[in-house]
Amino acid sequence: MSVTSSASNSRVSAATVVQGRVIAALILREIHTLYGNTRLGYLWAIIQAAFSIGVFWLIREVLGARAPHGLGMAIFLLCGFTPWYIFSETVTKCLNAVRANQALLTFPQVTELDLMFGRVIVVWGTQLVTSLVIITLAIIIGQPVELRDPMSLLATLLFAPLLGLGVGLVCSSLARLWPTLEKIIPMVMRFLFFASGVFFFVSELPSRLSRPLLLNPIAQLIEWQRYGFSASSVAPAYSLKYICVCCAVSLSLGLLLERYVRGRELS
Amino acid sequence: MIELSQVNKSYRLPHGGRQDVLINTNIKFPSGTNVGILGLNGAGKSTLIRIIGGSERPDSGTVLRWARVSWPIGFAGGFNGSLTGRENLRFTCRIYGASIKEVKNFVEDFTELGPYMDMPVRTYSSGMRSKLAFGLSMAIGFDFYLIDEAWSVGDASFQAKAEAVFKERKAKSTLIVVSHNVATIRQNCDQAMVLHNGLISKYNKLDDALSVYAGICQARK
Repeated sequence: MSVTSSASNSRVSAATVVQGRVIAALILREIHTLYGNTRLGYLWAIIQAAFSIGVFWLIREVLGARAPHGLGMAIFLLCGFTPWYIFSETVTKCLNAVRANQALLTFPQVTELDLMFGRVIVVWGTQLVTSLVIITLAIIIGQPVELRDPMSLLATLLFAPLLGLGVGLVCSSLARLWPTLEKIIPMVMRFLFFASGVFFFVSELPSRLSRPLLLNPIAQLIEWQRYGFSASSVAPAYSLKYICVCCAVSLSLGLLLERYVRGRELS
Repeated sequence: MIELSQVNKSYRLPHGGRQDVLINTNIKFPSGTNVGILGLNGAGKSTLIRIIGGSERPDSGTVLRWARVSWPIGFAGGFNGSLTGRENLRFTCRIYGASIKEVKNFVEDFTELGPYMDMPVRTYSSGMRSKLAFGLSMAIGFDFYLIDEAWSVGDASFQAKAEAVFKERKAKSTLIVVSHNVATIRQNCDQAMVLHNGLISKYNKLDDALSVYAGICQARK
């Protein structure tokens, strides 16, 4: 009895070592293919993020809108874009993971799930570095940046990739069964971009709008992250329980579906 | 040793129905016996070798491996076309936990790819690709080498070189070669099997398998 259990233990740890190696190799490869072919390399990730924040800053500036609750405009937009990018990039990357890396599946130790884990980690890390650089820039140009609740920042940075992975797994597995989804999901993401409060406060909309929009867990994550930086004492419009349930349900469903479609040929 | 028991595999056809590739396949590959698997194009040879190596899962049945088995070495899979030979080499070393430096030295020497090592793999000819794959797998070191036609695309000098390296390893390593080319099998294998219509037939004598296969090819004509 004890012999078997120790044998299976060592088998599990050996398998973990192999999977760790595979994911580490995939991460390096992913970064390399994404940013290795340009002269500025990884800097492009930062330039792209800074650009989209800049565009919305400009729009809001032209409209004369102000960031409420004592938030600087840079932080206000950054708190919108960071969770959004982590989520949406993860979903998109999971959707294309298998197609883009078909050749690597020739290696028996590389599985579809590893491809997705590798990509989530790269998306998450890239976005984190990018956000840090932009915050530093914002401080340098004199934007108010005050983190009042570090826990809410940490929590949102943790939940966003989990939610992205869960939804990404569900989407990519369903897209194996119905390839049309590969066209529909980007359209839904475009809609969600406008509906998640990336560049406005969902909770400040009239309640007949804000209530349905806040059913979207990304909108809640964005509200939560902004709350961490704001001086406001207004009750934040998120529910930890709701976000946890969304993550848990999407991840379980996603892993289950992934198991079900695994090994099915791409059409 | 590698053992396949009760392995079934079929593919879905576009207009309903399924095409059986392997039906209740039972095969044992003992260490030390180089085995060739012959089959017509589309008979399922590549699927079989992918199942042996673990790149593909059978619909049912089990595959047990008591040895370090290579990935199916062919001229198609395994490499990302947009990365260079050197980058693909690094990736392969990392997932097998091999020393990048040692493998690099061996592969550069063995493949003679020279400056091509720093060019994207998609620019390689199929001969160059199979050289890289073959050299890489030799450098990493396996008990079983699964070879999917790769050998037949190399030129004569590469084949001689590959043979020489393999002779060195023969004490420890075993070949499983799938091919539609009789000469490849005759040159490298001690035993052969024929895969036809989802069924594997085993022959103790190489010549028996080759003549059965010749019969199948004749019937096609």
